[in-house]
Amino acid sequence: MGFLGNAEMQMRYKFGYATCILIGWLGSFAQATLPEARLPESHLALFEKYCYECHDSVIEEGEVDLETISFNLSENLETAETWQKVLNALNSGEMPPDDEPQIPNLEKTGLLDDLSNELAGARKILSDSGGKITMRRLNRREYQNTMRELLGVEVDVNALPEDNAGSGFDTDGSSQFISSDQIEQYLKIGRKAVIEAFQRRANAGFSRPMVFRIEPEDTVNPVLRNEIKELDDQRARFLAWKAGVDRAAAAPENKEVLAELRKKNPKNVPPNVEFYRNAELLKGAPNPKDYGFRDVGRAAFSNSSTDRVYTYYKHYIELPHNDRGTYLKTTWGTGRILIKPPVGTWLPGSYKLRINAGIAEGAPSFRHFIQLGHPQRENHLKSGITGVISTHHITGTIEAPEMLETEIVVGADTIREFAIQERQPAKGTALSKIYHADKAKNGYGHTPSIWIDWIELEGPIAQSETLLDQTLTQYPVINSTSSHTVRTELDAVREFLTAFARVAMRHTEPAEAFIDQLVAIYEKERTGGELLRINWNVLEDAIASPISIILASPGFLYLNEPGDEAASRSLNDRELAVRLAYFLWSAPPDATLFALAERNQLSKPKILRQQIDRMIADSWSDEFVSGFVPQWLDMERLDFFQFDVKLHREFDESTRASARQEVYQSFSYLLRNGDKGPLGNLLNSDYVLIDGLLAAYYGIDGVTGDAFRKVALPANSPRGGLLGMTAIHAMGSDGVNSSPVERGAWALRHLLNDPPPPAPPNVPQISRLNDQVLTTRERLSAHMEEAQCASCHRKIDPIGFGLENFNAAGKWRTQESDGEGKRKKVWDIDASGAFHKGPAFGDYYELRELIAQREGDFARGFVEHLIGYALGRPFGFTDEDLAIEIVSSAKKEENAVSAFIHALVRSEAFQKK
Amino acid sequence: MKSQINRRHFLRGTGALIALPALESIGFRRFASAAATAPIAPPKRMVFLGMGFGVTKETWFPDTSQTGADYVLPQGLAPLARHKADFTVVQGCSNRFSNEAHWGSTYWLTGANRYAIPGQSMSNSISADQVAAQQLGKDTRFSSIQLESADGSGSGHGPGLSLAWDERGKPVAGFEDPVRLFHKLFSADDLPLEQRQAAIAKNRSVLDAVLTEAKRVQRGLTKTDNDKIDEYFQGIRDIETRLNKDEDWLNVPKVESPMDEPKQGLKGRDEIKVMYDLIVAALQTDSTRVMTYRMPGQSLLTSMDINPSAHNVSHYAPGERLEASKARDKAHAEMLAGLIDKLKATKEVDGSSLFDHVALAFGSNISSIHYLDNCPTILAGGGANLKLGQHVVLPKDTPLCNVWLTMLRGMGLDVERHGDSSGVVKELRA
Repeated sequence: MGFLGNAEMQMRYKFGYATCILIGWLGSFAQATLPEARLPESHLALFEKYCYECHDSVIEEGEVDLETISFNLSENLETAETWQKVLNALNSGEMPPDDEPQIPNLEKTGLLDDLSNELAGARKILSDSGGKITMRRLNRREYQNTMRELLGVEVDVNALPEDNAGSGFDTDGSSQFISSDQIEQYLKIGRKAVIEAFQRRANAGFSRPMVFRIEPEDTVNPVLRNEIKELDDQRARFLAWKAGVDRAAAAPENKEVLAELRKKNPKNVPPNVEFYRNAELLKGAPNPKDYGFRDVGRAAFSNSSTDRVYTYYKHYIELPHNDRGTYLKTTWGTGRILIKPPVGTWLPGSYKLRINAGIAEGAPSFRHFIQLGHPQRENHLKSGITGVISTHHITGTIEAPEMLETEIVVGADTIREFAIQERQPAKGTALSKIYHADKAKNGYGHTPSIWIDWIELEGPIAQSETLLDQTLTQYPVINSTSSHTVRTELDAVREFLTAFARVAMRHTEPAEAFIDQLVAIYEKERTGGELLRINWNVLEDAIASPISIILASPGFLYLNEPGDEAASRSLNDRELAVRLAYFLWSAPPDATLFALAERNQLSKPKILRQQIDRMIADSWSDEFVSGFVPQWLDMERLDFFQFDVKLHREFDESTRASARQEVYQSFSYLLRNGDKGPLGNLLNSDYVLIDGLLAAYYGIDGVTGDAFRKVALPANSPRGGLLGMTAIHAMGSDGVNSSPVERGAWALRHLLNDPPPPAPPNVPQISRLNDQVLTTRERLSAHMEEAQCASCHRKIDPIGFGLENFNAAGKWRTQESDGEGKRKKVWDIDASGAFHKGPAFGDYYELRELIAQREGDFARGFVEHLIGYALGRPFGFTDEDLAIEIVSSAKKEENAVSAFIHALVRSEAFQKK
Repeated sequence: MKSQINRRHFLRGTGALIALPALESIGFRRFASAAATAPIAPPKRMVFLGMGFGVTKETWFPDTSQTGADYVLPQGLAPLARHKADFTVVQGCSNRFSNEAHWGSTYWLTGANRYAIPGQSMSNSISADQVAAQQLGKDTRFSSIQLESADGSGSGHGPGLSLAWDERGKPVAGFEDPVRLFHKLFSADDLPLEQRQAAIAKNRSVLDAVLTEAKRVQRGLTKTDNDKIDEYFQGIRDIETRLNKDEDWLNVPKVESPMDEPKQGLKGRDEIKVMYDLIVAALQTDSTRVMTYRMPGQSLLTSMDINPSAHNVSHYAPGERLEASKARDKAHAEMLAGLIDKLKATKEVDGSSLFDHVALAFGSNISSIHYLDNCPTILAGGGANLKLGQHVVLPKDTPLCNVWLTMLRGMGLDVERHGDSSGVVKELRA
């Protein structure tokens, strides 16, 4: 097969080598053609020579008969199982046995390559959906979005199990499940959310929002002044105590004690701390308690603990402009500014957070950022947050500070205490080495970088009406004050519940008996409340139950489409609206879609096209991007590792978040760029989509603020396209070193659509080279020695080597090293190499160009994933036609990302049940 | 709905109590003294501890040439030396269908074939603990308790919500927060009895309501979708079963906790230790008789100040990663030794120890690195009547399910086969 295989060639590769099938595909494709994953007959000779002695039809050693077994691996489960057994035995080196002739390396490599790939193909064929789309329920993302639309509440879905526990996309109905725990969680989460929604409705009555302002010169600086005063005092007490100890030491009666101490440890002499720790052994030594120290240990160490921070504090308090603001400290002291309005004033809702701040002159660009989060309360330190909620670029100067504005969402359960700090690693003390290095240079520690003038919080901001609000307006529920009118109240409740259930169930009719039961539950709770009927709260509590039951019922949870397996039917317009909305928004259809569906207009091609474009343009399609892209590109690994602060200081949680966004933004830029958004730009482009943080990370000037934007790149930039992105390289690392294997396998899987088979079990690990100092290339060369490794790694490793110019954190480098101290070896990175049975490349740039030329393969892989995500079933053989159709249709529109979406939604598969 | 407990019901509840052991713990003493005249044998319990990624091959497995009681404890198991007579190391077992080199827990207790169901890319079957729970879970407040960690997917466990899979091969959820589990086990319901009864009645009417809706949705669905909605029905039935159980236990106050409430936010080593304490506490108070724990892997290393990731450590090679791998083995062995200490120190009413009535297994489906043969297996406790203090080397590729079957039968459970078992392991029987 030629290297620059187009999509058709790729398909042949993936689904076997049988000629008849190939003809079937290249000619008019017949649905009836059975796919196979076939092991090439050319391996037969090998089996004859090395295996038949035991594994022929006569002996059948271990019940494995290689003489009569079908070479069609996908014939049935049993055949696949037997071949799996063969593969395992070869991989583990168990077969052929040591005392038998061994298969020459090259032949074995070829066999393992074919066998493992065909077996993966067979598994796919055998687990093919046959075109069935299994009914699915809302996954965690969709549930959260849907609840937000209905109630305006951000629910916490962590109590629900993760959706892709099996494998595949979180939209795949056949691998989803539901358990009793989960149903109970839906009830619980729903009830909580409804109550919060009621609270928000009540709050909406307040006309004037709360405004809370923090002047840090009044909150942080007094603390700092006090800390300095305490340190001064501590030092004075220490010196007084020490003088007493020194006097005692000088006294002749202690001569022997001194000698003994010195004998025990030569360090036990003044002025060492060790000596003063033993002060109580001296006769006439002062009691540390008289000097305010708990014991001698505290007293002896009080001097050095003062030293550690004293000059740092002193330096910061004496900085200019401290009278009207404060500088953020890291590592020691008050490192955060608390945002904590008085208890009870912070009602659920959205708030504006404004921060006026500037940067001290000369501060390095990566230190121009603040992190927002909840303060950590695990220890007494006045620094640290529990996690980064958002990161913000400080752009002004101290003379001309600039105001940044962001939004905070506060739910019923949100901790009513936020804080900001200068960006720093998750473990704040991780910077202490840098602090001491700085201190050795400048005499005090970290140089000041961020100056905060003031912080302001305002809210709650008026919210748009939720679906619950709308329903309540339309069907008001007012509780009756007299027993005569209870009937009227129950009727109103019934009407309201019916209407709300219809809204929640995406415009389907709930069962009447269901509403009866809900009303009964309402009535029971209502009268259960000691006849406190005039109290609104009772009404609300009582109606919260039936609402939360609706939100845990199958009509809400499942995207159900009645159907008949024997005869597929077209979706009606309402069902189409639902599929479309959950595909492109991960949320329910809006009023426009429902209105079009009601008039049976949505399925009209022209209108459908308009609606897709509208939906893509809408910011809701961010939900599609953040739902689909990380699953398509397997980005889970991005969160696996804490990066080594010593090696990769700048790769903190803030960088991680921006790096993730870069991938999403690059995709949505193409998605929303109409016919000028070619998918291939993800392989190579002359621009990047970055925010101020990544601009600083990549060393690109002139980008400020938190918004991502398109920035043109200079001609020789390694950035541009996925292979230039930090996220991709961080995923291909372990937080310390780059991993050419991870990166190479990722590129094969996601860029070239040539996925290596899953990592096989029981392959002997080569550890011969482990204690040697070697270049990465030398170390991985061992992969080529054993057929079990070479069969995959000959494809994987060269690509990984080509990406070695990116370190674990995605920064560009030209050198690498191994070993430490005298054994340390430094070498220039050689990124040259060649694809297995493909063209050679001289460096990273050439590799990127070769990969960019395979846009067809990339598009094909993208389509397979898009189908799996959109239809909610794993891509399989059944979808071959569909994939070809979408690929060729999008090709006519320059491979614009939106063209793929249009083609997929237009397809029968998308519009049929 | 029923507004008061009927007499038969009450008797059923009390009957269950009479069958309970008269534990030394406070909660049951008065029932025991009222009901039991003859000494009652303490019940049997079962515990599975799964560690995800495997062990350090070179230093964890005993030398296969030394079998029986007379074997040298390898370095990785050294912290267990004081209990050498109390556990048995089994070598040679594996789950023959396992091919996923990073899934140490998914099929560990099930032995299932991922591809057993055509048209499905993943399937599973019931796990050994749930088999036990079907019989042992009848008389306790909780049929079984699963413990878990919030460690994410980097710890080598594979898909699942805990070690447990139900009889339909669906994952069973677990507790990942020790504090939450503590309250579930020991915190008293403050509500008066009538209100709790009313709450159960209300839950029933909630179930009735969603059932009505489920039936509406079910109408007109395809066969496949019908199977899907069936999971929902099954979920409802499971809640119903639990409600019945709640009702049975309504008038039985929660037992007093033999331990203090755990601290919030424990991670890694401290988390495992406190979970082990909770295991002892739950068994000691007879809150349940079947427990599993899918232990943290990544956060264990983090708590030990080990930098390389759990996956990297599992691919150990001489140097930092090998040392990390050995340190992790040692930490596990120390904690396991601590758990055995506690189980032994906890006395049953007849003077025997809790340890005598527990069947405990510790291990993983992953042996070490990417190897799935020779699953590391430690068996301890007197509950399954196993020969302890042994190093048992079984023929290569003995189904691991044979070991589970041996345990289940050893506990006196009526189990014909489990997973891909081909029989019991005679060498393990005492």
